[in-house]
Amino acid sequence: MVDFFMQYGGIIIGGFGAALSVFLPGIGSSRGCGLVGKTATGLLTEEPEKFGQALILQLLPGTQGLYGFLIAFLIINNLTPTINLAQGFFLLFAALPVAFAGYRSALYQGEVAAAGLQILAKKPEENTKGIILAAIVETYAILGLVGSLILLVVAYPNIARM
Amino acid sequence: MAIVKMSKFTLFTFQANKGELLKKLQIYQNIHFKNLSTTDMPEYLKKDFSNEQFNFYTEGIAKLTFIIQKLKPLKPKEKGFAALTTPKPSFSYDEFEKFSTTYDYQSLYEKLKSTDEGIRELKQKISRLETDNVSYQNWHALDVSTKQLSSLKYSSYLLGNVNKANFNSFKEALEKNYQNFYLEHLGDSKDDSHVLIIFEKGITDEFSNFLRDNGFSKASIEFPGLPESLVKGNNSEIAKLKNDVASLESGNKEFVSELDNTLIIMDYYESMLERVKISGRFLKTNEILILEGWLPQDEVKNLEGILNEACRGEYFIELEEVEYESTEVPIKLKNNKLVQAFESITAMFNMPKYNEIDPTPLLTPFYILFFGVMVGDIGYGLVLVIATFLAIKFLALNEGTKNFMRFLLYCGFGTIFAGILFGGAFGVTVFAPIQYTNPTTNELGYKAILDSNWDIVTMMVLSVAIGFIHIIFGLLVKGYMNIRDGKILSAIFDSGFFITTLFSAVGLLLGTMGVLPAGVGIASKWVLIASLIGLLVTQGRDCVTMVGKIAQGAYSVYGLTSYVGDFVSYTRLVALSLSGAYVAISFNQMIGLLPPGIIKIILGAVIFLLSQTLNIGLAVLGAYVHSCRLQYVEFFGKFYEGGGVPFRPFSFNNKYINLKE
Repeated sequence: MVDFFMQYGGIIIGGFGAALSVFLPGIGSSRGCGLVGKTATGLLTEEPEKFGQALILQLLPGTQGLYGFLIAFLIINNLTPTINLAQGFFLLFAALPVAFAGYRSALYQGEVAAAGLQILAKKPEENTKGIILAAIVETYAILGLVGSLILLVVAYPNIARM
Repeated sequence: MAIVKMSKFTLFTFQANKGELLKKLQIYQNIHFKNLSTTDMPEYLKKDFSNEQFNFYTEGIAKLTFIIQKLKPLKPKEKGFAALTTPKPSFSYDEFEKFSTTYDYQSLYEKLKSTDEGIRELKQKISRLETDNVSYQNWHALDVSTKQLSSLKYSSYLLGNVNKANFNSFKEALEKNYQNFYLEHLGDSKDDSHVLIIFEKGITDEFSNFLRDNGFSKASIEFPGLPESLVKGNNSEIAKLKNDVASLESGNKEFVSELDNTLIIMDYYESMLERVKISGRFLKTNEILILEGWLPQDEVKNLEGILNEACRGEYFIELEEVEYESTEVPIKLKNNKLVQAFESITAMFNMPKYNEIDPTPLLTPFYILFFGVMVGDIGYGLVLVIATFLAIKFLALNEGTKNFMRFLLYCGFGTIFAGILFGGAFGVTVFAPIQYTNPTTNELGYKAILDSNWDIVTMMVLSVAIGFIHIIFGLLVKGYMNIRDGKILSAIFDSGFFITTLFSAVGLLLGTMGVLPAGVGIASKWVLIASLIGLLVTQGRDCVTMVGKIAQGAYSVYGLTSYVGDFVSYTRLVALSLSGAYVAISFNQMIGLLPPGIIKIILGAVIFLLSQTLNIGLAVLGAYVHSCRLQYVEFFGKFYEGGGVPFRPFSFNNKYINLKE
């Protein structure tokens, strides 16, 4: 058992990291988009012509899922059968920033974007302000992405050489 | 390029000239009127606003809206491209006015209104019949009419409801206490069972009391015939009524050709309402009208020409320079075509105050760069440029949309430029001029100038460097504004010290890391210390007490930490760029996994189109929003306040028409 874990642990743990960074922000993004979409239906029954602008607001919390996907992609590129346990753990940790920052920020961003529909309903010409407000939340998902990127691209090559 | 210089005017003329004057000024579209207030004014000055006219035009607009609502759904939709390319009809003002005042929309309104009422009546009848049907359904098992039941000689009958759950206990109670009765269960609705009871005539009062106590409630319903045949009759009646509704509705079709005319009049009425409303900003005496407002300085000559014509020389005008510090003067921006496309970015944040500068030309090059880097794909850039170019060239767009298309066009060029650096088109590397050795396999190969696999660290450093330039530029602009206003010391304290602090901090960092010679690091250290002391001493200079000065100075030194956040924020440039690129790459890899053959070609093409469309949309949206954020938070925060009133000239409503000169 110990032998098995020492031999394959790296790729298993690393793979877990890749999975985390896809499914956590994925859940967050789908819930964020879902919240905005659900709220938007109320507005669209009254004013169906605002569909395009409502769609933009709904898309905003969707990007976290993409960020997680990007990190998973980079992790998978590094997953070779030869990596050891330490490297595997490092890949898992590299996934954490984007996974958790992405997960929560997508939910909060969804809430702001859903509230932004109020602006769209009452003052459609000011709709972009609602978009910007929601985008501010995304900063922290981006920082999570950058953190994961640094761990993977800057730090990991040194670890891999050890 | 900048904020347009304004003149303020106060104009006196006779009431008699008002109509002609307002008409001319509305065509002129260059005056922003001030809302004059009657407080602190002599009593003989009154607001010039006519309720009567206001009501006249709002009522007209309500009627026109009704006509448009009724006719619009009936109009056959123009086919896609034709609808987009047909320009609005053009009119001269006189044609426009003559057409709108002579056209008889009232009778059209009356006709549509009466059909509408007819339709509503019919629909009410239908819904009444439908409710009847629903209640008849509940008694569907009744096989005798109420007329027949009332003609019984020795018996009485009752129709009524019992709670569904209690029906059995009700029946038992009845059977226990009485022998001579007949109970029939006719049907169920949601909560109730519907029953018919026939009993001896003599015991009516006592019997009905007993029933009531056991949860029976009498239904006041009559069946002139059998329920089934009643429903049938109603249904045929409903079908007939629905036919009538349809024929009334299709009768409206003959008026569809009037829709376009109605839209033109709608524009006229909205414009006239605007004219009535603007009068609310003026003051008047019995004879004289007083108007106050602003117009661009170089338009003063034209205004005088208009006044001479409209008032036949009977006016007095007082012109004054607008004070530099004025906060009520409306702000109009004037820029070349390129910068003009970006004015909406400034306007979305806030218009500048009259004594600030127009930040649009300053943010434009950075915006194009940021947007370009965030999308960063030759293919996407070409799509943007070609699509927006064709839209501007061939579609009948209004001015705002056209401007936005131009904005995207310029951003598209930025995207192509950045795309060349990153070497990708639709996620495929197409431009890789740099030779390099793969560090893991030691093979020779080619890569893009800034490769998304090998140069991520360089790209991050570059993003922060761009941010550094952007922020220093913002501080320089602030310094320029201070120097322009003669505040040399403020420029040194509020811009100079910050700039030296930032430069020396970077110098110190690079010196200790060994990127720059050690001497630079040591020199930077001393400059940094001097700058920090400078900030500590000067930033509290507005405070009155000594303690306040020190505290404020120390706080501003502490506030320097926010600059770290600012720089980190610029890493979003590379983050968004990479996420867009990798999504495109991974979709392309998915297509590569398909089994080769005809399926791969067809399915691959479909996946390619869909995925790239999705990705381009997301990338453009993200780039638009995050470029804005970098301008608003990181850049504007350094020098820009805003808060000016936008210039809203008194003008025409031309949603549906084009007004010729």
